[in-house]
Amino acid sequence: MGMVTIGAYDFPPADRIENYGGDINLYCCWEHHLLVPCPAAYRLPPDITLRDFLEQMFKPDHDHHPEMKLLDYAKLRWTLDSKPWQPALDKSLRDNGVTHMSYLSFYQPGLDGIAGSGV
Amino acid sequence: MAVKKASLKEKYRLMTRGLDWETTYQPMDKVFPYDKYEGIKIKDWDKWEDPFRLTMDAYWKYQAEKERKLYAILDSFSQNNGQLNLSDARYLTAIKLWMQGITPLEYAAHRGFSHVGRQFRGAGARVACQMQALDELRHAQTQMHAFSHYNKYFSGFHQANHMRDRAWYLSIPKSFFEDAMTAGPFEFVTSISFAFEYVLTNLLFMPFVSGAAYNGDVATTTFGFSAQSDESRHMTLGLEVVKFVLEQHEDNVPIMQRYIDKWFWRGYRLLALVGTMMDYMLPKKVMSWAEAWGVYWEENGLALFNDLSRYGIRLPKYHEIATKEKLHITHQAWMVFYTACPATAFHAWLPQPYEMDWLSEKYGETFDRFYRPRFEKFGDLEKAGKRFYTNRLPLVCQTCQIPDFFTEVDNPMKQAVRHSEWRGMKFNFCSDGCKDIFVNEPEKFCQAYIPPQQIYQGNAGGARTLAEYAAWLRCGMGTESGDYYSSDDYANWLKWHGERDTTPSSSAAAQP
Ligand SMILES: [Fe+2]
Ligand SMILES: [Fe+2]
Ligand SMILES: [Zn+2]
Repeated sequence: MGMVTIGAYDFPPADRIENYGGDINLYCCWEHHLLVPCPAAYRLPPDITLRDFLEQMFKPDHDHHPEMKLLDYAKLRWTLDSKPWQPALDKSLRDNGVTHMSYLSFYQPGLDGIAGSGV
Repeated sequence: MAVKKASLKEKYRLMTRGLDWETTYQPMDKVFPYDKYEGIKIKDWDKWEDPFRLTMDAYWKYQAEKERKLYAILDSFSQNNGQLNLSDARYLTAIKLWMQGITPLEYAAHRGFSHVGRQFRGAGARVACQMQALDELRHAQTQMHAFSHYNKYFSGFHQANHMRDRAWYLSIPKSFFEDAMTAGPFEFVTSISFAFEYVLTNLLFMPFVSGAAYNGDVATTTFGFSAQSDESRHMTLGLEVVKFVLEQHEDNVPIMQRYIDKWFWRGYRLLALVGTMMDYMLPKKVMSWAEAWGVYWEENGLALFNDLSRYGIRLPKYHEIATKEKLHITHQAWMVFYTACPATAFHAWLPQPYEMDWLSEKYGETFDRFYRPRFEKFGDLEKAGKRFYTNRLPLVCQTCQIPDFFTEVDNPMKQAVRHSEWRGMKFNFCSDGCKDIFVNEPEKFCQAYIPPQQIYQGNAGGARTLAEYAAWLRCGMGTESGDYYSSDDYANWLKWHGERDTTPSSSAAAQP
């Protein structure tokens, strides 16, 4: 159903990719680890590899977490926009099909946070 | 010659509908161009029952009397250093959030009601909106006056206007009201008068005013009492609008149902901030968010919708989700404030032991299993001198603009997020409720001014990190921002109380 308006009503999205100077916005979440209470937003170039993103940006944000040292990339179960997904860690975000405003999440079975409480 | 005095009822009729007329130089549709495009059909505006029944001269007289009393009490409060009698300076986080987030909504309500007060072709509706517009302007002013005394002694009160257009947590109430004000006049009154003022207002007003009273805040309590009679008129208007529109034409029912669904959910999301105030910001507790939701929604709200079912209106969509979430959202929201308070103009802190006990008592297993471990972990980090602050910007819901701290209702360990695509672009949401609202009006919500995205686009003074962003907000660690126990507010509080910490130590002291 379209919007009911008093006249022509057509405006571009405020967060369109053109506003990011060649970068994209990416969201990422480590399931069952809510000590950082929201999925984080990253502005980054689409040709960074998934591994570099994890090593350089994601991991430092969670280095206070005792389970970080148990993280094993081989065991991760990924989703892209909440659908099951098999990424190649050494390929770029672009080649992995990650686009502007994509939402990534991963879960490692057995890692359920402090005292199994999801944090 | 003897002048016959009109009765109050007659006077009211003469001064409202008696002054109205059908235009002849210009067609009525041109004079009132906005009250038909939403598709709402009004057959007979005379069927409108005026809820206020107040003439303008009576209104001025009555309000002037209330304000004389209010300002007399505010004066004596400040002359007697009333700020020293607060339960604890932590309490002022609630008032700072109110000043920054809610007072501007009173002003926005004034603007919104002034606008629709011009747009309805029924004189009764116009007069009601005009009076409410005046009430809301007074609320904005009297709140500012009541809070201004605290500005002399505490940080975080002095730049509400600067904050309002910049702070991430204030985009939540701001965008809520801007959505309503840019809608048609019938959607506006359904959103503000019905969903917010009638259905949800008790969840806002009751805890706020009783919270102020329990915590020694005479200024705010007095404001609350002076606004109470206004609020009851606003509630009457909210119910009258909805019943009137539903009785006018059956085609109005589905439109009103969509408005009710949308604004119940938007109002409920906004109230997460109020719930957090009740459970975490008030040193002396009034009632828990879960208890308030039980009384004001699960009892009163459901009864109201039972009454409305004879008009063909059903319960708002996703109300059962809101009820399930009542055990979680305030703890989750406080985690966000605790970790992100370097970029807020108020302080946050770890709950004190007596508060942890109170939360366990009110939330039972939910709190002990899922939330106590986080606070204990944060406590360990504090003891090790590593107070945890987040340094990353969050995913923010495209509709309600709340950082997405929500979890799935059947699994509180699992992050909740929803997705939608529109014109080839991806959008993300906190819930099905917010996603539905977007899908109905993507043309509107694609324009949302989402703070983290604006920061990344360079529109926050070029800031990229939370710390740079805080500087752009003019928030300094220890003054406006950061943990309460390392703040100037706390240091001053100790000084004024002879180094005696007034933090209550047991919840027993908190019982009304
Ligand atoms: Fe108000
Ligand atoms: Fe009101
Ligand atoms: Zn939302």
